[in-house]
Amino acid sequence: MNLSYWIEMIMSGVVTGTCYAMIGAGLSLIWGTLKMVNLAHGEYYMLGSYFLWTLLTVGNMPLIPAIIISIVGVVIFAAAVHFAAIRPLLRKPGWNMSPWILTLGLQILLQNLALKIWGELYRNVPYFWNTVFKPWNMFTMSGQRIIILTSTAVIIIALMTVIKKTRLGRAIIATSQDGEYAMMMGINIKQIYFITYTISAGLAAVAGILLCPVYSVNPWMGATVQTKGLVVCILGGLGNIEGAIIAGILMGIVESIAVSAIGSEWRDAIAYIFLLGVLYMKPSGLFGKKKGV
Amino acid sequence: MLKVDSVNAFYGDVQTLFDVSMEIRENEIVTILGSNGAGKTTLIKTICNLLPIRSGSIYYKEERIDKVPPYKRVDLGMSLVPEGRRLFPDMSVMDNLLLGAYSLRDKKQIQENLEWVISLFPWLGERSKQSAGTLSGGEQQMCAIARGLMIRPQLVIFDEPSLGLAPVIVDQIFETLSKITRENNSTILLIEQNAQTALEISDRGYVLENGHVVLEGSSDMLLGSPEIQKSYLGL
Repeated sequence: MNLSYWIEMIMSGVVTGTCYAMIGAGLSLIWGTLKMVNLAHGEYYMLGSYFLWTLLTVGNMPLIPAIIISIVGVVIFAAAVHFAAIRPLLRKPGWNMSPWILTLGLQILLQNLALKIWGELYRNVPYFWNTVFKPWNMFTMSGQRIIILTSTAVIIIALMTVIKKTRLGRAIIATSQDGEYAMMMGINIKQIYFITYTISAGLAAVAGILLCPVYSVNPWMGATVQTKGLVVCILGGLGNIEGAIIAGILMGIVESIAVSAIGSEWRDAIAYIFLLGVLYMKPSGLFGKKKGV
Repeated sequence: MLKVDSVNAFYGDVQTLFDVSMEIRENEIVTILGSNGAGKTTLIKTICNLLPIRSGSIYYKEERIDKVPPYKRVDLGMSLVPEGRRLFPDMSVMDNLLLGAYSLRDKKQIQENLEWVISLFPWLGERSKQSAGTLSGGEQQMCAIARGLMIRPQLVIFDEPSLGLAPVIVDQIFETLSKITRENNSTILLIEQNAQTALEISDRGYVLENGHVVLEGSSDMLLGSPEIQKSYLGL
């Protein structure tokens, strides 16, 4: 175990971390504006992978169109879910409880639907770019991981630019800080709810598409990502998108280092140990703000 | 310009407004007086449709607006400066102001309006990057007023702008309000507990008590009324 080994571990942690960041940022966006936890978020990740697998192996489609259609497909599906299931419940009595039940139900439904459609066989998607690099002869990095890193970096920067610099971004932040008065500024907050929900689903789908060649595709793949996403979202401070992104990357690194230090069977436990440790010291998360009751 | 016609409103099962009627004519400053819990804020919420009314009707420029969704108010030229300031605290002063102009698409017009509100409160320009939550109480109120003026509204509703502020700042804020009516031909609906100062700059007033309009008239008449003097002026 020399230096290059650790660099490799950290790089691989960063790669998974950026995907956690995208899931966490999506959950944080939804939490911030709609004030709900989306327990079916991991399922959009799973659907992204399955759509891609289906288009590539069953549909024999070239890679780039297959990726685009998969993302669009998940976004349209999420839009349908938003209109059919979430909007009718919005702001109705019981809104503090109803999204939990709704999205938990959705999670179970989508997992079993995937099982029914695609079966329980673990599917594999080939690497998008099957080469291996050895930068400065220090460590190895596969082409797939480079694709993941660059595309997540571009997407995260684009997302943050939209949120920080544009009219839509201001509307999203205003809605999450004070929905009632956001309306008085002329913001149609129902439209903002819709936009943030579908953007978040799109982010999850992209993460699923990018990671599926590294892991395998199966009906339950969304569940672990879902809980990791929630952990990241809490770590970053609920509703704090930047926080979720940094926490996601951090979590990827911690996980990767811990797995190589103490063994891969601890992979999922580490997330929670890390979360408990952070919350013990900073109850509002790494970047959360203290709030009076 | 704004007409509230026998409005009844409820919070859950509790009735908070009883047959409230009032009218605000163009270029007027109208004050609504009332103690805590009299239904002032409820009235604002019904006018903005943040709280749907149970019966009655609300008209703006002859057009019925009680079913129009809240976010369409700004398109009609109506703006609210909410109670307790309620800026978006984690955003910069500039972003707050730009949100005030959210409904405008014309960049040139936004820039013009921005210059106008900065001329009203010059310090806003210097501190545009500061996060709104770190402003002092009086500054937050001024920033909220500026935000409410970003669409150059025809009707502005001010919900207790003097609440919790030092007398010097209150004077400054009321001076700005009358300046706005002069410079921009705005109509103002002012909700206040500070009866003296509010009535001094207004044309007319209404007094709300337990959700009923109990008194209405010109400001001079209200200032002279023994009931007002006893309940609101402490004379």
